[in-house]
Amino acid sequence: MPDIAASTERATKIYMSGPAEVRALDDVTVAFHKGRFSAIMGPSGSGKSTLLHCLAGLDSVTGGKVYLGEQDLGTLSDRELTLLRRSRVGFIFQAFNLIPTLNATENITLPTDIAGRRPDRTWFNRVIDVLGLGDRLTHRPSELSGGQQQRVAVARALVARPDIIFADEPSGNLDSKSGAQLLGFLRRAVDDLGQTIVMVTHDPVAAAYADRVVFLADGRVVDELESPTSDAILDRIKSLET
Amino acid sequence: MWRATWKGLLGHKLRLALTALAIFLGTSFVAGSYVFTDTLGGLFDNLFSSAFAGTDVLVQATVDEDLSFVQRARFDPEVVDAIQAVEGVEAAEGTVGGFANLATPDGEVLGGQGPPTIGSAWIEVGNPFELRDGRPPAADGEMVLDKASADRFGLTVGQEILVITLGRPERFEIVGLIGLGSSDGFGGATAIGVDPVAADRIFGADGQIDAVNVVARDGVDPALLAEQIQTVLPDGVRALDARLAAEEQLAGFKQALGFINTFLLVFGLVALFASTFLIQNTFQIIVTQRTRELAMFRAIGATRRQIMAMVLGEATIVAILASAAGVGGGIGLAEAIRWAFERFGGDIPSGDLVVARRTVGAALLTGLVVTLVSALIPALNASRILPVAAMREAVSPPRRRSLRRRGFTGAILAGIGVALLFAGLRGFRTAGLSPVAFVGAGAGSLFVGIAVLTPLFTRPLGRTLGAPVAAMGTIGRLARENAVRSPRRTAATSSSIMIGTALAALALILGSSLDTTTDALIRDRFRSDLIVQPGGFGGAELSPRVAVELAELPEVSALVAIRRNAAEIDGDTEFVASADMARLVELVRFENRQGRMDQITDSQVAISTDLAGDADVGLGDPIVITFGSSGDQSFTVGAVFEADGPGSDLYMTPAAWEANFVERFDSSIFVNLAEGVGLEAGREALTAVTAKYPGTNVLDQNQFAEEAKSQIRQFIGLVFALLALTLLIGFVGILNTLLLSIIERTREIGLLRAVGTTRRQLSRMVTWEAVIVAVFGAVLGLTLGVFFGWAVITSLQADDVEILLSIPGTWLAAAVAVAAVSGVVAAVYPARRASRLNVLAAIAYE
Repeated sequence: MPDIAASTERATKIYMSGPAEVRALDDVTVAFHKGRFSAIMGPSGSGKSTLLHCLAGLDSVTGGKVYLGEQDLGTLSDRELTLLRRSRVGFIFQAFNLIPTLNATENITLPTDIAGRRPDRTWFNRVIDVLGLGDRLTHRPSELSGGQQQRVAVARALVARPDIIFADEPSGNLDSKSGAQLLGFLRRAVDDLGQTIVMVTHDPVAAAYADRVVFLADGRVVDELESPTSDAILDRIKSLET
Repeated sequence: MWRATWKGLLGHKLRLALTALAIFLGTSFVAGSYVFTDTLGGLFDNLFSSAFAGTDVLVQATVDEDLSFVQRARFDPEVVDAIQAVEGVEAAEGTVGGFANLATPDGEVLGGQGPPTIGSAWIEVGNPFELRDGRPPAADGEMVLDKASADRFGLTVGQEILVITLGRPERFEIVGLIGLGSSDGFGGATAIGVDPVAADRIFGADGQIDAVNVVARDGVDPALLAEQIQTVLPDGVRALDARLAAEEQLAGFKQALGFINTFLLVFGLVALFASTFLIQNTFQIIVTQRTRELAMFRAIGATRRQIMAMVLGEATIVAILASAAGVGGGIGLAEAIRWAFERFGGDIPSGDLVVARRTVGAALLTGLVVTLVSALIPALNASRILPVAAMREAVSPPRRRSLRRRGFTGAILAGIGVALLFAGLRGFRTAGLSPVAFVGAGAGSLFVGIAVLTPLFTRPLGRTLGAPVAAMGTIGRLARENAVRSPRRTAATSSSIMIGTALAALALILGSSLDTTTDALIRDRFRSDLIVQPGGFGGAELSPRVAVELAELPEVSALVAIRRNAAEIDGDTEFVASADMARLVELVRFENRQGRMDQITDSQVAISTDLAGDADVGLGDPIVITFGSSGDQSFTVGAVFEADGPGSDLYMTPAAWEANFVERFDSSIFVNLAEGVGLEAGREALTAVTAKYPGTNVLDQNQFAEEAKSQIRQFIGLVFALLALTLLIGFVGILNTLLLSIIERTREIGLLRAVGTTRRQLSRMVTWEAVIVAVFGAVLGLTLGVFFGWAVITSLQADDVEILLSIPGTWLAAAVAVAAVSGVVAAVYPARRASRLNVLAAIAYE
């Protein structure tokens, strides 16, 4: 299946919290397709962040398999995983996305710089143009608003042209207007720039920007929804709670 | 509140351990200096009291107190008869002694550069020595030797050795080994005893004696007896209760030991001074990290004073623990010095080290004061944290005080420092404060001033120095930005390195300047072809016979023997010299200013322009010289010569010398070769003679210069080794700051790892940051050190001392390189920590 960007096969993640055994992921089999915007939803402790981290090669599963494209992540060393993240994965976190000592441009080109590659100028300009960051490029993070900072983070994720971008509550720290704007940009990144995004969120409004929503509870995939609206998502959540 | 203090301590174990290490190093030196001198003092207490064990009253010529190390005048042996006639005297016997050099019969010098060999006549009355082996010397040609030296040199009873004194070297057979009290040695010096007839000859006494040992009848008070004896003594000879004499000699000895004490103390204090920056930084960091916790304390009702007491309480506990460990470290250091002394030929009995209560007190007090003073500002900052900070999300950095005020304070401190420095260097003194104190206070104030000013230029200077690193790419750029990110912290961290490098640079510049000057002077003044010098610093220098025998060589056209010793002029101890003046000006270049140097008479002296200025005398004026043995003597200034560097400031004729000094050794002999005799042929001829006098070297101009310079280098080397200590503290400072920065930047590091930074890249980033901070400190230190060097040299020049400023570029660059390497090493552990950081933990926020 060449159009799968990332997938898990019976992924299980168990860790010890004191004497108690916690099943963060419990036999999860899920696939995310290329060129789509997917959301993972679920209540606190449902394992949604753990799933994202495992898919991104930041964490490892205790059972089952995780694939990035056709690459089995379980077979890679720390160094290989690092190089893989560098070239094939993009990240957008909720906060602390930027290195405070680097300006916007330097932050955006960080992954390519670290890899010792030159960013593609045309692509860079297009991303900057789409995100409307043209006049902010020489500013340091401390001189940018929260929304601008997250846009820089999105630009960083896009500029390396990764196979897949993982976003963890990207609008979580923003006011509703900036949040909506940011999610709009993510949508455009998929529609106009052909990117693949997997986003973790607990906000139905945010999830409604996605093409597909995967619902997690107690470490299991409990439901799915194609072309969701926020109302449909809310209904589904309510039905899951009961 | 105490419980919180204790918990706070435990919560920052590693960081506080590093702080404690700095305090430990400094207090170790303080304690070590006292332990060493107390131990040595106690040892010599024993030695000196045993040295007079059998004697009740000692009769000796008087000696000037400040010149107690010169040989005392000799007197007629008839005095002994007069003393024996005094009521209450059981027995009295005269004795004679002096310095000697020892060598094996095939010319190998024994003892070399170590402590001197002291010889004396073996007499019956009040002889303090005890035979450990063999028998006493009974005839000329027999000797006894202290057992410790015999063991050290591998000598036994029955062997023959050469004794070199004023005459030709003579062979003596060892017939016995001796000890003193409970000790087999003489505190590192070698003691020999010979038959009185031999003693009279080899020490050139010419029938006279150095001292009379008197034993009192039973029940006679030595002090009263001394008074009785005094009445029959000629002028200039004094009878003294032997115990008092021992104490007097001991006092002189302890004064000499005081130098070692001061030397070590100064290094301890420099180390502690460098530590203050580290301590302050650590506590500030801890306080900043705990802002929310401290605010919470305030919110639940802790007063400002309690918060301050909490921080200072932590500091007190750290200080006491570290200083107590420092006392232990001092004992170790004293042990190490003892070991070093023994390796270099000294002999310090392995008795118990003396740890006086004062030693412990001094170490604890300095440790405590330094730590509390350093922790004061962080404690004040902690007390200023507002309760509301507990509610705030992010840890806000401490309120920025006005940069203008910082600049002002720093500039004032630096200004005062420079003023004090120059006041001291120009010889300014006031009640109780020596110029050295001014120089020290000035340097200290300047250091603090610069440290206060440093945050103002951390960013531009750090960025400039880091430019090559930044040019290497993103990792380099991140390293550079991290290095200058928190100017105050960078300033505090680099301050310790700054101090170490500044002092190292000063030592290097002084060393190099002295080197250059010595070279230039020797090339300029050395007119003779060769110079004959003693090889070591043993008390005995060149036998006067050497010059006599050299003069008879056909290869020699002219020579002049110079004697040097100390005398007091105008309250200062000066090295005075004597030589055949006509020959002297022929073989050594002097710039004659007034009068004729080569024509001074026995009642005249030739003095340098320096001395003329200091003593405020000119041609034809009277000048009073205080000699150790002959007291105040008046001379007339017969000539004034240009002072140009090391060498004596006063020359007198040999006849004048012999009237005032007991010593007859030569210090050096300048030799000109006859026409047509090549340097190598000449050297061969001279060496044929000097070979008979083991321990005598024949040097040409270059070798002479090297010889002179090697002594300077040894001293500089010693200073340098001790300065490594301040670098060590700087090293600890970097380690400390980096560890903290890594904890603070956990998220950032996690992000870098998430977007694809490898562990190795992260390691490199941390290492480069450390190197930039270290080089930053080193460059500041170098600048200050060069300034100090320049200030010292120009002040010396202003004092008419001929010295050339020389800045050893290569060495200074090496000092910066050493600092950079220390940065790399300091970064090893923090870099590991950073690269091992769990990426998930770093980016998790739920």
